[in-house]
Amino acid sequence: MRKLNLPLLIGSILLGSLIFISLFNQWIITKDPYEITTFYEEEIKGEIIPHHSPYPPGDEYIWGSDILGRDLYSRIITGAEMTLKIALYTTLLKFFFSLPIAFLAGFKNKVCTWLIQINNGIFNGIPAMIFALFILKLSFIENVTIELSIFVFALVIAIGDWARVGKIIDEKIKDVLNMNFIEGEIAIGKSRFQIAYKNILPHIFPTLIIHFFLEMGQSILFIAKLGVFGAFVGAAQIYTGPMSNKQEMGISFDPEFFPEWGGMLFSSRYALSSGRPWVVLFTATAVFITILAFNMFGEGLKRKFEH
Amino acid sequence: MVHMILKRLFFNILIFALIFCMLMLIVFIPRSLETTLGDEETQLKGLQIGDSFVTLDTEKFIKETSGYIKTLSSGSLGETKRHIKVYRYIETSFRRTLTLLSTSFVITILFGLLKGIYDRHKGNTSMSNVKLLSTISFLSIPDIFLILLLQSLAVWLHHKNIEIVTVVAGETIKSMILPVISMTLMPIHYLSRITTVSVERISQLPYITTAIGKGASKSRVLWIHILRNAIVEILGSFSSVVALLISSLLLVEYMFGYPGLTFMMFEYSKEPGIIMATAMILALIYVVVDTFINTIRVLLIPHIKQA
Repeated sequence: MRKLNLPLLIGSILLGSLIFISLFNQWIITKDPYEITTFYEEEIKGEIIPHHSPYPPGDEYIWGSDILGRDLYSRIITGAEMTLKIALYTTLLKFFFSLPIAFLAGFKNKVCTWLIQINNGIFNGIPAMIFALFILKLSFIENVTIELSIFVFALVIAIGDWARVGKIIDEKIKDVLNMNFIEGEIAIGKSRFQIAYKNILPHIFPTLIIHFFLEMGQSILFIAKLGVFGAFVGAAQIYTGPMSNKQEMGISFDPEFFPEWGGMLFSSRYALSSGRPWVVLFTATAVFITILAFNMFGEGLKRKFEH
Repeated sequence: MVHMILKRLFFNILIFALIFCMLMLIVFIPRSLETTLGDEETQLKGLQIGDSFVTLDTEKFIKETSGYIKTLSSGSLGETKRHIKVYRYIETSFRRTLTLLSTSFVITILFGLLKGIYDRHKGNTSMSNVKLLSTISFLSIPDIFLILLLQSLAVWLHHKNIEIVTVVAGETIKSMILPVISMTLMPIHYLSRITTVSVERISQLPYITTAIGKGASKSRVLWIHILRNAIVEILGSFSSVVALLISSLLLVEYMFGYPGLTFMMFEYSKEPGIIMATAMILALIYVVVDTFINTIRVLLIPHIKQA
């Protein structure tokens, strides 16, 4: 009997659901994700009960609301699209940087080999998170438009994290180059470029696909962590309407404007210190499920290709 | 042998120097660069009149960085803007971070190795599927999700008057439990995976079959024949474990309010002296540990070959 590839099956289901949510979020959401309601009244058995934001999970707000009374369910569902978009750009940029350098390093180019080693060494010694935070918190970077902000985020994360992918690809290329058939290809007079294009690329293609999905998970994790420290896309755009007084709300930060998971995790410290964990717990769960989906799918593919 | 140790030492010194240069660039660059409007002079550079662009006061930047290098060369870590020595801020926080890091490192090594040995393949496919799924799931848990769950649990326990753990981290064992769990869960699974792969690979080598054929007991084969050789491979991953722990440190200290090095970095985000000192110490910890682990590894290789 053929062994069931459970990680691939679970990964496909989760990933399919995520893509569906990202594409058709307008059909699934129950409220406007930007709508602010800091106060509402409810009539229960003839009694009028006032509610102040953030609202706990209930009938009106199924996953509760954030500090500004915005529906968390609708924001998390809507936020999937933007979060996945940043993660996709980040991962594509990581591969864009690492692929050519890894190919040259695989063909024993010393400069490229050193570039990968040194980059890995630097970001092992000082977490890439510190580097990214300092760059992304520069005021002129924080103040760019949302479209540019997404690209800048992807670029900064990719710069700090590309060498890890580069090392994996480099090692795989070296494995292929050590195979016996390569000697035959060299003997018949194929150039390095021809070997790279016609022999190595098809051999490492499964590895690239697997690591693309695993890296998507890593990128989402990076985005979420940056968000906790207050580095998120569109950070300059804050709510300035009525009832936006931070002192009145008892907070010391500006809540994020755009529904994006990283930004939504910025209120983590507030949520825990004020005893309102739901404000970030559902977002963190969404991050976990998304990373799990990409990791399961990637590992499932690895198993499939190995067989 | 000495050549290998020295090579790694020089590489790590280079990494440390590069980290220092990178930090100087990102820490001393003004957080809010001046915004200037384009005039007739700038129009020559391709900008329109009235366009805003950012400018960097290079003179000030060079003056500050060279001033900092002078301070360092005089054997001091410098002063804060309020003229308090940076050393005074770093002294206690360094000790705290070292306690948290070393405790987490020992726990990761202990449990990672034990789990890796326990997880080695025993030919039971349904179990290996479950193990794979559990490993992927554990590796997918974002540290922010784990921290939020643990802190919510601690709050809930506190409300039930059960004081096993504390929400805010401190220097007592009780208050270190949650930060250590948050830091070690992922590295334990990483190390266990590497251990399992290494142990499984060595188990299939012909000399292991010979040892079993000669009647060596299972425990003798595992501890004397397999692990003695696997440890060289496993030791190579210890540096990555330290890098993972340092990267988790950032979020753990911030979320648990543990006043260690990275916590100081965020608390004093406008003090370049403190940021530089904390980041350099983190990098130094990694570089020293990596050099030490590599030296042991190199020293162990001939010993094993002789055995």
